[in-house]
Amino acid sequence: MRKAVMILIALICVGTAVNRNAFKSDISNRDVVQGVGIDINNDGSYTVTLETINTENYSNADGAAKPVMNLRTLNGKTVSAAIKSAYSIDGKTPVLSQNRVIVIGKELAEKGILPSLDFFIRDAENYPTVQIAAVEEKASDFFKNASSESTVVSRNIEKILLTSDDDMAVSSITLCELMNRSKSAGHSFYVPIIETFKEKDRPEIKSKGTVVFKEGKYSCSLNEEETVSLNFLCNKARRGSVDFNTDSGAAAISIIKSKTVRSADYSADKPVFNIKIEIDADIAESDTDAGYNLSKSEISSLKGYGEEKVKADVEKLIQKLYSDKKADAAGLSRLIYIHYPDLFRKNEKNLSGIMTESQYSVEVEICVRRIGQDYVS
Amino acid sequence: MNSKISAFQFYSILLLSRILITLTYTPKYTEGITASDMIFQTLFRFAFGIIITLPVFLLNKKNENELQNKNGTFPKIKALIFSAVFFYFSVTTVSRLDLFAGTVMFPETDVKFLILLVIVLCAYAASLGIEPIARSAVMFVIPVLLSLAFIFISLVKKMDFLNLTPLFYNGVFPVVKTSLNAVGRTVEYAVIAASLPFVKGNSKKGFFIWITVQTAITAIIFFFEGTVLGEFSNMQLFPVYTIASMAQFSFFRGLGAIITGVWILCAFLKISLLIFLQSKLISEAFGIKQITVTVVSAVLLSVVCLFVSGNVSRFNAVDSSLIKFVLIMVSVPVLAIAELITKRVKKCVKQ
Amino acid sequence: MVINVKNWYRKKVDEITAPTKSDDEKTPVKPTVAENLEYLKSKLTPSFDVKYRKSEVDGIKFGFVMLDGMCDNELITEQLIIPIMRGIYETADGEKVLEAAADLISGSIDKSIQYELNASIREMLSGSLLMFVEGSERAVLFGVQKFPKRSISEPDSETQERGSKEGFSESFKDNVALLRRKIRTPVLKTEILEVGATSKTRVCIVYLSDRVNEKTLESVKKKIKNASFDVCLGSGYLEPFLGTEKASFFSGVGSTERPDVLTAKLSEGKIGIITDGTPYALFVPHLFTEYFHSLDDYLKKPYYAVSIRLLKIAAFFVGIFLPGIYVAICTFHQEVIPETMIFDICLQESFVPLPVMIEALIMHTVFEIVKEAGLRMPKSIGNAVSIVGALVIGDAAVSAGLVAAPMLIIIGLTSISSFVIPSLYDVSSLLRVILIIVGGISGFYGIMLVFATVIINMAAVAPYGIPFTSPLSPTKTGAWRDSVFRADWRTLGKKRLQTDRLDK
Repeated sequence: MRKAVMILIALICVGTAVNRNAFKSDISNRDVVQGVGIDINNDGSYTVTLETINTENYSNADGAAKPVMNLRTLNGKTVSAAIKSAYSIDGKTPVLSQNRVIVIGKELAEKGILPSLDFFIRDAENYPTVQIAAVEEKASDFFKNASSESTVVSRNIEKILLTSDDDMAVSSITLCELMNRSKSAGHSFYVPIIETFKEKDRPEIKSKGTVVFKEGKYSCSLNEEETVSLNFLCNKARRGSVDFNTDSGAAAISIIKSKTVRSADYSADKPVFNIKIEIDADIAESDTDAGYNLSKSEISSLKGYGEEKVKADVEKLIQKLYSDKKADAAGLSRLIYIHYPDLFRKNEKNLSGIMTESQYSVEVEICVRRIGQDYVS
Repeated sequence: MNSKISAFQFYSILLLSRILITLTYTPKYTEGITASDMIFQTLFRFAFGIIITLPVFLLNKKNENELQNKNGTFPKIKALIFSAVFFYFSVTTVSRLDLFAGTVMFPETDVKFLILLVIVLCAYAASLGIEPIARSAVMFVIPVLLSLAFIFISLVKKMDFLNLTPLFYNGVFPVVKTSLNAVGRTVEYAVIAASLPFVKGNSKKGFFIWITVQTAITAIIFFFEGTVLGEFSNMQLFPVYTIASMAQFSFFRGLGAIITGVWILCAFLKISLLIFLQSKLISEAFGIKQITVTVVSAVLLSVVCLFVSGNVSRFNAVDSSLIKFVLIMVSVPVLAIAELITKRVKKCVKQ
Repeated sequence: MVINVKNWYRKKVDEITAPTKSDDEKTPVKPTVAENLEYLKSKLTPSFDVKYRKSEVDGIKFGFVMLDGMCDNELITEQLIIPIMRGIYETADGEKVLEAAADLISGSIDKSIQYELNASIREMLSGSLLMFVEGSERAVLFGVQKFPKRSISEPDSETQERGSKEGFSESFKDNVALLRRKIRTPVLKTEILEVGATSKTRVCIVYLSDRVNEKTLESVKKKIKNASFDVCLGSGYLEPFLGTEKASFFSGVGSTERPDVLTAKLSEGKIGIITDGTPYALFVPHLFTEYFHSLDDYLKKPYYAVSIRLLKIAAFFVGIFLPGIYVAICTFHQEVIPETMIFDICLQESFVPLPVMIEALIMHTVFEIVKEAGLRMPKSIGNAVSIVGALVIGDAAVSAGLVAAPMLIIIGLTSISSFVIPSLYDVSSLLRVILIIVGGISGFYGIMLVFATVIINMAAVAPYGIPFTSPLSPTKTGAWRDSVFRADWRTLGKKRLQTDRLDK
């Protein structure tokens, strides 16, 4: 009996060995996708740009280096149809598990991005940690302008977005976080904007602020200063610098560590949000002459200016987001959901109205840890 | 069962089997409860688990478990009931593995041969006896727990406590219902009821440690799932696999492969154990050769699973929470209480 | 249909084989020398190296039979023939003459009395001088062996840094003597059995009587007696009979070429089996964790020993899993590849015309060919093999696009890792191939399934009631002081391991 079982196992293995699908998914038969760009056309169809690794063994006629990446522009009624049509171009199925970034084109952002992301959630190959970015042009044009012989556009985009840990002026969001924010209280989220520029005839990419979405559609754009405030508001600011003007000139503080404590309260049935920003900072540049030793009061004064600047910026952003645009990009309404579920349940249908009427109290506390190559005089 | 295994070995198998259920859970079982409630319902589950197994331990204490008695009709009926339960749960376990393989691992490949491979290898393992299965479980426990710990440590940076939700936001009843669903999916209680007479050592202490550890592990898994994924977990078929694939350690990413390995190890042991128990109970009750019953079980299992494979609606029909709940209730507390009452009545009549 | 296939195969085997049967006929020693010599000639002719001699002393007839080339001729002449021929025998009674002649011989020469002719022949064929006396129904055998044999040398397969340089040789008596030098107490027992219907190879069972499990000992003896084969040319012939009856990659029988290692095993209550004609001794029961032990572990500091053991375990798993995992990753799980490596792997593998699984299998086969050639090739042209091997497997293959560089590194690393534990090389080689195929067909899913099956198969091995996976499972924490970890000798030395307590 055992021999019969072993023969059966052997037959199964032989049977599967001749299963052609087994060799079809071999890495040499697959297009490894590093980045995806999505645009929407006027007729509602999608144009998808795939940046894949170039494994073709050719070089240009003038002997120049072969491009490291391929750019494929594909059309389809749905995103998935467009991506699957890549198979008909070179006979290789795209593999999306190495996809690093999804770039959203301008028109798609205006019409609503959530339907186009459905494929990336359903498809098991896609990782929820993929970065999302938006551009102020077509995604396909962006990829074309940003690519060169030796550039991997998606990797560069990912690198820039991941600098949000060290640079508060850069925001970042992953697919998982975006979907969380879109489904949870507030139904708003933000996506970083990137743009390309030429540096000595070589294309470079940089971050250009943030775009805020409400109900999946474009709501407003934030510049770099506003992005810093947004990061403070979302407790995502870690390191960076804040510069400000004082009576004597311009100064800058370098933020070593930052933490935002957000809490919600309510009075007279209206939420009160308390936002306390705690910053550990260096004095990067003072408003005095070079080499001047700062006194305690001067340090205190710079600290005060810094706190005022941050507070003013954050309050301005709150005004823009919650009063003007009614977009809860910072996810503050979730605090009501968590701490005051009854209040939330009562006001769920009119959340944006309630957020407009809420009170916001912003407090900033900067602790100057170091003052650079200096001592307190 | 002539050979006995130690309580530590027995509960190691059950721990791995239970971890499998948590790793493979789907949001469709959660009755729409939120992240924090998912963590809290493990406490209800703990309590329910102890309640439904009390009659079994009482029966075993008084050495009145009919499975030890090979004569009579009642042991045959009991063996048939347990075998049916174990067969059903084998079908759902293999089908779930097929769903996972077909959806996540090999979306573009026919996975029917993988089902056959699993069943054949599990049948082979079952034919070796309970002792190799028990010894293997002991060897797998530590690596499995370490793998899970490694994944969760890698996820610490991705946790966001704002993803947690207020307790009982949708009421208490959905939470209770979810935990009852979970109890219904726990075939381990039926395994305990069927195997307890053949476990040496302090099985009560072992049970208590087992149920505490598995509740703690389940709560931790749901805690990480809630804080890392938040609402996104409701959009995933296997949220635990999703959070594992989000884990990153140094330049190693996509630690979902580790969860796949853990999943398959646990499923292998569970299916082997269930096939073994079916064949052992039937062969002892009806005097049929055990290897024959093993082969017949494996063939039937293959037929049913191949029928279900690749069809989501058939899978949903087979993987019914209600059927599972009824089977567990009947085979664990109801059968034990019925047996206890019958014996009491007989004793009183004799006196 | 299965039964028909079985019967057909049995018939085909019967067509070309004959059953092994032992000549167990018992023929008593005849009272006359002529009859005895006639019987021997009928059994041994034609054999040019068997020498017969008849002598007569004072009317008493003597018959001598010996195997030329196996005996010490000088010793026979000086110490046996001359004293016997010059002896004065007061009676013509054959039995008394036999005893008197035997008494004349120096006590330093082994003497044994036989009543049965076939047993006498077997002993004579081992290098003893056989003597008959007219009128006696007994034969005397004198141990005068002097046959060509290899001297004690360092074992080839188990080199130790700090251990002794003595290894077993082909003579089982020398091997037992080496053990006696290590254990100078009366508890060391040695029992002789014979195996092989034709070869009648002597097998010596060694054990320490104060700690061996009697049931295990009886079981070993029974298995050896029931071992049926025609000739026994090595201890490997006995291994399947002594090991598990279930089909498994592991037999539960260990082997060693070193007397110090065997001594250590005996001290733990294990049983040693020394086979005449082979320098490899077997011991049972053997545990899986013991594959990762070596004598050097006990001669160096514990922390170093632990690190080496862990390294060996890691090397073992690398040797088995690495190619299969690489194939699985390249075929099904490309998401696991780090971003810094995805480009290189993609490009390299795209140039190779074969799928990754086939590439791995071919490279593995090439490596096995080179390894086998290096093993069998005469030493004088061994260098050519290494050069050709390096060329074939090395850069040229990569440059020609026949194999990708990552695959070369993987197979090279795997092969080196599998040599860390030579005794597991056959297992790891086979498992490697299986896992490459399974990884290429079904990815991690299949690899983990096969791994789980192998583990369960291993857990089922318990030929003498001691599970092969002990002390890991069943968990015997008391034995962990010397399994993966090694305690200091100040702890280890206080109490010794008793193997039969590792059962369920």
